[in-house]
Amino acid sequence: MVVVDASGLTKIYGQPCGECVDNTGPAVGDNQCPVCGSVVACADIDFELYDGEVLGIVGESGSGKSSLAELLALDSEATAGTVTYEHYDGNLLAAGYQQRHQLQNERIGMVHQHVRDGLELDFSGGGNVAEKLLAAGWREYDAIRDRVRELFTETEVPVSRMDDPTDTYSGGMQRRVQIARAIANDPSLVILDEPTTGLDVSVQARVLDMFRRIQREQDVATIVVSHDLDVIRLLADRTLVMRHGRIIESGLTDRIMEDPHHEYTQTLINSVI
Amino acid sequence: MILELDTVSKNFEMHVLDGRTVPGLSEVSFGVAEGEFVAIVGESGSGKSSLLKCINRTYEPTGGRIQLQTEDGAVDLASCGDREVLALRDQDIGYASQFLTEIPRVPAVDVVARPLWEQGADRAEARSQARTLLSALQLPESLWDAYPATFSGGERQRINFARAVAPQPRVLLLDEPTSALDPETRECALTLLDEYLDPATTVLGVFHNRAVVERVADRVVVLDDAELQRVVDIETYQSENPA
Amino acid sequence: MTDRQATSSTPDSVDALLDGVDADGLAGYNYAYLDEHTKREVRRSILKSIAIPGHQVPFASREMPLARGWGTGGIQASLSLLGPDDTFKVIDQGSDESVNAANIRRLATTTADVATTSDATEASIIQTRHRIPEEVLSDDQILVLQVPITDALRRVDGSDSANRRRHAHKNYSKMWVALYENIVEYGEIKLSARYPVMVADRYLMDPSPIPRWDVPKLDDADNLFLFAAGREARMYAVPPHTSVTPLAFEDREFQVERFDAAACRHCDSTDTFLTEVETDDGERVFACNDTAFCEKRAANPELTKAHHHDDPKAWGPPTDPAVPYGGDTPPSTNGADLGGDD
Repeated sequence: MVVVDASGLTKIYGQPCGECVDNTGPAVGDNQCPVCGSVVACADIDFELYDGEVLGIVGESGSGKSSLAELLALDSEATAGTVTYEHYDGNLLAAGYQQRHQLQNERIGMVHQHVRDGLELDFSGGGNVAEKLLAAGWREYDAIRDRVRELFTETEVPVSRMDDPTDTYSGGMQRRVQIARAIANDPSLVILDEPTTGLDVSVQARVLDMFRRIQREQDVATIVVSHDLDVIRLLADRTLVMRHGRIIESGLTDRIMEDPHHEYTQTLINSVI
Repeated sequence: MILELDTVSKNFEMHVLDGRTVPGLSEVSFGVAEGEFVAIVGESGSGKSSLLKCINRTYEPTGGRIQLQTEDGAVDLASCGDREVLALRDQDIGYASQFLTEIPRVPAVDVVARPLWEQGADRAEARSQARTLLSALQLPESLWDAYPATFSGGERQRINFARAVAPQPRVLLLDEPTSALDPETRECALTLLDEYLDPATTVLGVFHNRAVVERVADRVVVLDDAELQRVVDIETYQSENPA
Repeated sequence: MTDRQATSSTPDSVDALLDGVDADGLAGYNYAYLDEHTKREVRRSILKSIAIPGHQVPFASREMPLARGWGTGGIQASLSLLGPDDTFKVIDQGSDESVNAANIRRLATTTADVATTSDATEASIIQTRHRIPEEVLSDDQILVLQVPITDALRRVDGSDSANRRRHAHKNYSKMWVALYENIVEYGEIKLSARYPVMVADRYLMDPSPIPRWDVPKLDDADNLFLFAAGREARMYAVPPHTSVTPLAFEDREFQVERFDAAACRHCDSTDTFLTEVETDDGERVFACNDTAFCEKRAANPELTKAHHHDDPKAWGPPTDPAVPYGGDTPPSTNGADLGGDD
């Protein structure tokens, strides 16, 4: 069953002149339109995501992968394109403020690259997770506490730290609290934006491992955005390779890693230390 | 025929060599009957690994067809969609590469048990089966709950082997599965294939060791320089290559 | 404003100058101090507030003859409503006699020539700081409350624009988290003043720093409540018979203050909001916060809070924690009969 079907997804910063998409991209080697100066973060993005599947999106800086993640998480507005989503009638990108918030609370979980975008640092870790439950209408304090403990255990954050302010947590713990938040209301789609960037190596393994387990157990459709091929290899069933705002190659993750077709993909694979 | 290869080719376009094409497989054709054990032999670089990878769709063939008979009919692995391949890899096709790629912080027993969970077995049951397999491969029990990253080549290979064999796929693809094992443990591995696998399992295995080929194979596919040289049954192969 | 009478010569001393001022005095001001345009603006804002219960309505807050933070919002609301037929009561922390209350009352009598009273049942307009009177108000009375901070969400976010957006979309999850954190810290909801309430199930409202004791009085009342802040230049209203529900969890309910069955030292009441006082001997005693009602109770201990109504509506919980407070449950008054009023 298709969870997300994206077509022609485009995000342009600035005042597009109409020729921006044609004048930018991997063929040109730039994201900025030479005519009007607008930046085409991503354009003409098409893909499908199925139930229980993990889709990887890999690319370097300027590839547009994070912009794409933000569009799908409904954190920013698209310039063009349609997204059909199993729990929404019509173009998901056209959803109004209220509906976006409801979807973000109940259906779509996002783990942000920068902790400030994902967590309220002066709330407790438990409070951050409780916020999702409260926004979905939970009104029994004890039940909320139980569910928060459950989610903390699931994401391997020490329950003893549940009531400490989030800004006292380590980077890895903060990331895991974000994951706990993202899965709190059993969403049908989770988006991870650079889930391990900035974390120590041992912590990275732990976060990925934990997320893999949760994803398999709950069979939740996931989009993982990362510049790190190892993260993609570990988590994703299929992968999109992005460059200068376009998808330049897509396929099974192991196929992309071992039999890259596109020149840029070959460079990328050959560059792994 | 459970598997039928028809003029399968794989060429690599190497952009780092200014787009020069390097051949991996050149119009390889042969069929495999259900339950057969086919050994694939040839010199280094002859295309043996490429052949298995094409069947598993880790490589996308550049030409030809690979027909697989499934419960729902025939599928051309060379051209079918990615999602279909993923579904087939769940039940129909199992693949063991030559080396174990570690997943961080997953103990050996869980590496082997994972494909069983994914098929729907319950955790305890899956782990128990995994232990049986590891025991049959003589992997020391002290290592079962340890992380494979620091294990020896032979230990890792056995885990890889157990993982491929555990879910009992209909078609099992093995790429040099015993290359790092001493004769005794190798024998355990091969015995495991006999005893654990369903007799209807079809196996395609790449082997360097002639003795192993003679021990397990029903037929032998010989590759040379990306081309199929010949396909012979095991008796013929043995007589062609006397000890 | 009438022109100041020209003097034959420029004043040569402060006294001479003050003499001149005395002559004009407050007689130079419009009725109830504010000009008619201001009153119109305030009245329009009041109407808008009534039309959207709990929603904060901005108004052009004028310069007043006292500093911000001393009730200028409440005063502007009261002065815009007062007419010659009105009777005005002013209390501060429950007392008519406080300096602030007295000053505000005097401003009204001097500029509006309006009758004043300390009897809550006789006033048509009551201006109050931080308390709602004990006696149940009727459908022809207006209670004007002085408000320091108008937005309940200020507790969780200092950004006004972010909060406005939250109100617009009824997105109050951050306030719920604040309550959750409060319970985590104290085991129960320990917010004492400015307890967040939902008005008409739509807007989150700050009921001003009234004690929790008074919060239930806002729900489905007969009278109109107006909340005004001069410094913040905003006002809001709870019209009669509007639902006002304090935020609470199903298993951590809203609770009012209790006084361990203490009684007022003066009138012996056990169903009024009490203030703890330390006497000169160092003794700790309790006294009614609503001094005017205390006097009435001292004279007539059987007096109910709804004595002036036909319907003996309850208002306010008992001080004894053993007696459950359940909204419509009449409070106990030491066994006195709470039948219809006389």
